[in-house]
Amino acid sequence: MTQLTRSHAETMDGAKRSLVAKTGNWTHFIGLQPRNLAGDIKEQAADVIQQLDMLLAESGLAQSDLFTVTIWLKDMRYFSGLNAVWNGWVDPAAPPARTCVSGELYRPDLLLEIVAVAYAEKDAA
Amino acid sequence: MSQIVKTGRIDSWGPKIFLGSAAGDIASVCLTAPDKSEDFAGQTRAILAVIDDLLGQMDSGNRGLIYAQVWLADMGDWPRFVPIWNAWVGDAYAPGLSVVEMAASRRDSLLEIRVWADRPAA
Repeated sequence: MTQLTRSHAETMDGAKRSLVAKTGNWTHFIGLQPRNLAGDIKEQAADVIQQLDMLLAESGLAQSDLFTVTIWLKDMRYFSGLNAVWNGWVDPAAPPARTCVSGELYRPDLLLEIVAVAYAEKDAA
Repeated sequence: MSQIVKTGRIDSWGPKIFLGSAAGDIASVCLTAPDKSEDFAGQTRAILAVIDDLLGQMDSGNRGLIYAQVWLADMGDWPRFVPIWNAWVGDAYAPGLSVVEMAASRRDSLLEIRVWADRPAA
C-alpha cells in the first residue's frame, strides 16, 4: 500500500466517512457539501468551493493541482448560478477539468456536492 | 501494452464488462447487485461482498478503500444504506462517501456502487 491516510472524519446522517483521503501523489476530496443548506445555489456553491480551497491549502495543494472536479448538481436549473460562482473562483488562464451532472442529492435542500481529485508529486520542487 | 489488470468478467447478463480494474497503485470496482430480486439491504450486502472479493483478487481490500461513490435509484433507501455501510467500513477511519440519486439501468436495480482503493504498486 502507498500509505493511505484518511482525515476529516464526519458522518452523513450517521454514515461514517472521511472528507479527505490521500494515497501516493493523489489527494481525494469526497462528498464536499455546503455547511448551510438554507442558502441559494450561489451561497451553497461558494461555501463548498471555500471548503475545497481550505482543504487544498491544508494539504499544501493549490487549485492548479486539481486533476478532476466532479460536481453533482441537484437540478440543472442551478447550472448558471453554479457557473457564476465557479467562474469567479477559477484561474481563468487554466481552469480545472470539470464534470457536472444533475441528480437528486441525499437531502432535498442540498443543491450540490463536489468530489475533487488532486495530483502533486511529493518529491517535486 | 496495457498494464491494466481486470477481474470479475460478466458475460451472463447485460453488457460484456469487467467489474474491477487495477493499475499502478489503484484498484477500482463498480457494480449493481448480481441478484436484483433481493431487497435493498440484500442488494447492498451482495454488492459489498463482490467488492471485497474483487479487491482481494487485486491485492487490495476493504482497509485500502479511498472512497465510494454510491448511486441510489431512490434516495428514500438512504437510511437503509447507513447501518450496512458502517458495519462494512468498521471502526477505523472510514473512506470517503458520496451519494447521489440517479436513474438506474433497470427498474429492479436499487443501487450501484463504485469504489477506489489503494493497492501495492505493481
